[in-house]
Amino acid sequence: MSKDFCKNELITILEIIESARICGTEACLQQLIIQAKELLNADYCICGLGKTGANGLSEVLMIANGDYPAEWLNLYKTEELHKVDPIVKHHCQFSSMTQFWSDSFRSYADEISKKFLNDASDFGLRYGITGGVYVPETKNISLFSFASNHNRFSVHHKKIADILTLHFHKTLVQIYESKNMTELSPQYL
Amino acid sequence: MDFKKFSKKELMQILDIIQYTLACKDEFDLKLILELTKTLVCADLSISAIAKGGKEGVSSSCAPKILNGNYPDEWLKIYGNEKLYFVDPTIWHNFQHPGAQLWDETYGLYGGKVPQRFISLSSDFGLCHGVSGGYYNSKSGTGTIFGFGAKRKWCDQYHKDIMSILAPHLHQALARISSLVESPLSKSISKREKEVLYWIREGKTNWEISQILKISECTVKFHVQNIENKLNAVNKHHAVAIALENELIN
Repeated sequence: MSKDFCKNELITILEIIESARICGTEACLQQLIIQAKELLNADYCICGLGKTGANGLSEVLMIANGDYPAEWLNLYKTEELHKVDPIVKHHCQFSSMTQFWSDSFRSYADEISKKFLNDASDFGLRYGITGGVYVPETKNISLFSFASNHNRFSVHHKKIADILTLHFHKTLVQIYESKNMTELSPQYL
Repeated sequence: MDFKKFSKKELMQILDIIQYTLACKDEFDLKLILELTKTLVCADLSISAIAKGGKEGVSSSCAPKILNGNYPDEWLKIYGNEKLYFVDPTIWHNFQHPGAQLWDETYGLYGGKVPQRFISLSSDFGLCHGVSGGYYNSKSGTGTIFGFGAKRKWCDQYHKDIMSILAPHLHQALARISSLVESPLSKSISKREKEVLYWIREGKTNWEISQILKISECTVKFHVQNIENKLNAVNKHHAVAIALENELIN
């Protein structure tokens, strides 16, 4: 696994993992995903935690925006685009770890999904890679997206995202739990 | 932590170990992780343990659960029988200052408090020098420690830094599987003694237990005494509490 990375990448990955371990605030998490964005050669990044239901994501519990355009986020929120977002639907349905957006989009050729993709492209969110972790016990899902207007993402970037996603997930859940005084995950010793 | 000081190979090993800890689901997985870490820090021997405790060290009512890499069995037997975890300075230090420690430094800190027998025994079994990494969860009162030792003087700040990086991840792995790790106590409580414990828990008197198990009341009393001694209990009800806490009986 690690033999695919150069020394600088290994250093950055381990620095991110170490920072994720001690990260306890949303601001800190935002900085972390921005750092990961640089490693993944992306232009934008965002992460969020949600509750899944019969038809995909039923509730958005928390969003930590790296640098997705604010206008897009407002649109996403007011029109509840999480209900039609093919990436969200794909991860909720398949509980997959990391996916290229282009792979996920193949499964969603309906008009609503096409409109969503066109609208997102207007904001430079045309290509991307998303890592997700689904927790069956709580039916929660965390998603970490890295996007660009150019298709720069390769299998190499997917491997990096595979490694970081689980660490980011733990961080995101801990931040949500401390903000809301709840427990979403098994309390390990 | 300055990761730049590590070689590419070491960085790869560190990352691989961290990823393995995320996927650790049983003793076999953890033993592999111990082996990989032992190789990384250039030690000869490895071990891990999880225990309840606090600033005073290991809790007196609950012996540590040990998942051994390749510490000598004879050493583990002595360590358990003589409850050396109460005098082991690396254990004390871990509860007070969780993280990484060089054994030589820890021994220097606790100097006169460490019994000479412990020091001599450790040396006899090639556990003269080493590095440990550990973590303590104050909410649950549970600490883990991972020890890597050798007869030769081999480790320094560099290895301590590696353990600092890995300890929290190793802790998560061991904590996740801790219910699967067999307590050393369970090996010393015999099947008959477990049966006696069970019936004590059910509220039976010694006479009633003798009738159930078809043995003499004198024999039951003998088993009860043995159980109390092995579990360091003050009476049979205390023994039941300790046994339940250590999952020796259901």
